[in-house]
Amino acid sequence: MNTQHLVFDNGSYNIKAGFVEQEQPIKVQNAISKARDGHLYIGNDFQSSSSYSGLVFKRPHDQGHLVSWECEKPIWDYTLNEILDNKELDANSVHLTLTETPFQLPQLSMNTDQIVFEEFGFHSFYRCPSPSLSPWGFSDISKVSDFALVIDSGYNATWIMPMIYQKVYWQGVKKLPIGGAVLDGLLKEMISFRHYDVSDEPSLVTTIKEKTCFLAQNFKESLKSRKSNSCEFILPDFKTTKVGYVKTKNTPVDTDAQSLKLFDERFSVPEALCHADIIFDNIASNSAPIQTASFKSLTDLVVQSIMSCPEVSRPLLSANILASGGTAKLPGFIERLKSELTKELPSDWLVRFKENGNDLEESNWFGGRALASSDIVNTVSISKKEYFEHGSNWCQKQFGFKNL
Amino acid sequence: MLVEEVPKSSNPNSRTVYFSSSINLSARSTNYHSRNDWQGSNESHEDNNANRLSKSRPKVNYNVTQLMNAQTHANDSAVSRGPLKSAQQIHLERIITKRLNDLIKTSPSANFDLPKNFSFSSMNAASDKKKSKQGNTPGTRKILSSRRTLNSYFEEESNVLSINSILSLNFQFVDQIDDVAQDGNQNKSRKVEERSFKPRLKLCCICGTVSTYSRCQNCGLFTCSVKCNRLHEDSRCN
Repeated sequence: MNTQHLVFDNGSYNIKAGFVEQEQPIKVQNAISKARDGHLYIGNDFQSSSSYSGLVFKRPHDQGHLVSWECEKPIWDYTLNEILDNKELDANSVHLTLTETPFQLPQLSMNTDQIVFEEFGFHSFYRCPSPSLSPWGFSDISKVSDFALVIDSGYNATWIMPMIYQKVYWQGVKKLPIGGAVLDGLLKEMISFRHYDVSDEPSLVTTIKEKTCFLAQNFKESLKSRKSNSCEFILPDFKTTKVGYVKTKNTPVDTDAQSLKLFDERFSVPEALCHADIIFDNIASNSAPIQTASFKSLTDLVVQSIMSCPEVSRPLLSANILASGGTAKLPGFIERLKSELTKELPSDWLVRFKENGNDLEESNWFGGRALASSDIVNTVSISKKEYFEHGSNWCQKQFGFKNL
Repeated sequence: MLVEEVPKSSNPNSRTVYFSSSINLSARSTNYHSRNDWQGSNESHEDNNANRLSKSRPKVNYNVTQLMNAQTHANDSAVSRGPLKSAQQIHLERIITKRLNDLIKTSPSANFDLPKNFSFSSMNAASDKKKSKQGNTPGTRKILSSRRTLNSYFEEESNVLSINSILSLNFQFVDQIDDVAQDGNQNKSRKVEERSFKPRLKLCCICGTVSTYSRCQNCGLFTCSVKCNRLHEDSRCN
């Protein structure tokens, strides 16, 4: 029987999905959105709606954990329909590679197994933490290095995951609970305080973040010269533009177009990755612990993660760093991390970010594609038959994390 | 030890697996039958027997997860002693969780409920016939209609170890405040090593530039100039 391989990178913001044969994954918003008039849209459908403003999103993930299947099931159906172009899915001959957040609550992972086998009825299945796929994403599978440190900066959180011989080294996994969602929240707060109230426009805030924000190479210097770092974002008027755009010299702008002049917001918000105090000092609170607490930056956590790995592997990890995830697409993200890591790590260690030419947000999917098209995947997968024989408890033993 | 798995029929989805010793079982079950013969069982026993033999069968139940937890705690003294958290640390973690959740949460109106049996309907007719059916098996039907929150799942999880390792990940980026009396010098030296002093980034709450002043006494926010301070007293300082 000819099995097809389907790869599903089930991110908490976007689902990246597609068959191995596809050039590009299909990106679907992992959300059900509700317009002002009460109409519900699944996945990307909201983009075709006329009332783009005031959309509210309901996401099946909560803190990265896949909680709400009543919400996820329609989105998966929608995604499969998009991939198959309205054809029926013959799940019986399809192998599924699915990602989840590292350290997902075992009960929820078991729910996933149940849905995959009993509801969709896939032929066989491999479930893994999403960053662990990234090292595979090289065009030539023999080039995959035995050591890799993946920095997966997603919507919910930023994960640092050392991979030794393609296996997750669980003791070294670190989490920074700051990702795209928190940055969105922070930007929303700043814009709402300084300019217009945008608290009801989550998609607009995300757009502004994606189009204007960057990670400064030298934060204090950038802050001094914030005038030169300013830009003007033209807010959507729903006639000429639905999402808004950044004003450049060449773009003709209506004289009555509303715009948003952004200065330090552009780099102060992403700076939260390196200075978490920004998040906690931005609200009025009089509690002593939070005012005196010291926070680790993303760099500190990477160093910590490397240092908790076996000693011989440490320089190898620092020389094979991979960035992935949507938040890593912030301009300057890799450069900043690289320069800070070079300062923090011993001087004779090479700090190298590997690039595989894929879009960072999709790089986990490309990794999954490379893995699924090789024979290795068959050795780690679980077939439907095995599932029905051993149950989901057993599946969790195969795929789940080990307690620290 | 020979064990036999007894599916608990009343709650097929339960994670708890019940085992009963098969040696014990065979001994008791003959016992049961013989008792049946000479005693003449009462109604409920008869009913149970008709429904499901295993239910009425006397058995020793072990909750495997509970046993495992008890074992890990008994064996590993480090776990039971654990990294003790000071009251301050717990307070700090609570503030952090609250703040991060507030940022992630969108406006209160964003919490809408999906209508019952909400599902995706594609163009082709084939999937329409499936539409009315929510869940193929009892297990998946339960999952698809549960509408539970993450917290309820956490409460249900009985393996303390995995909860600990999941939750502690969220605070890896905060330096531990340890007021708890440390035993031994080893811990102390480690503490010094780990805590690298980092100046706090002081940003004006009004204009976002670097502030050189200390926090506002009233609300703890930074300001950079008299102008900003006045503005802040009017707007953000409560």
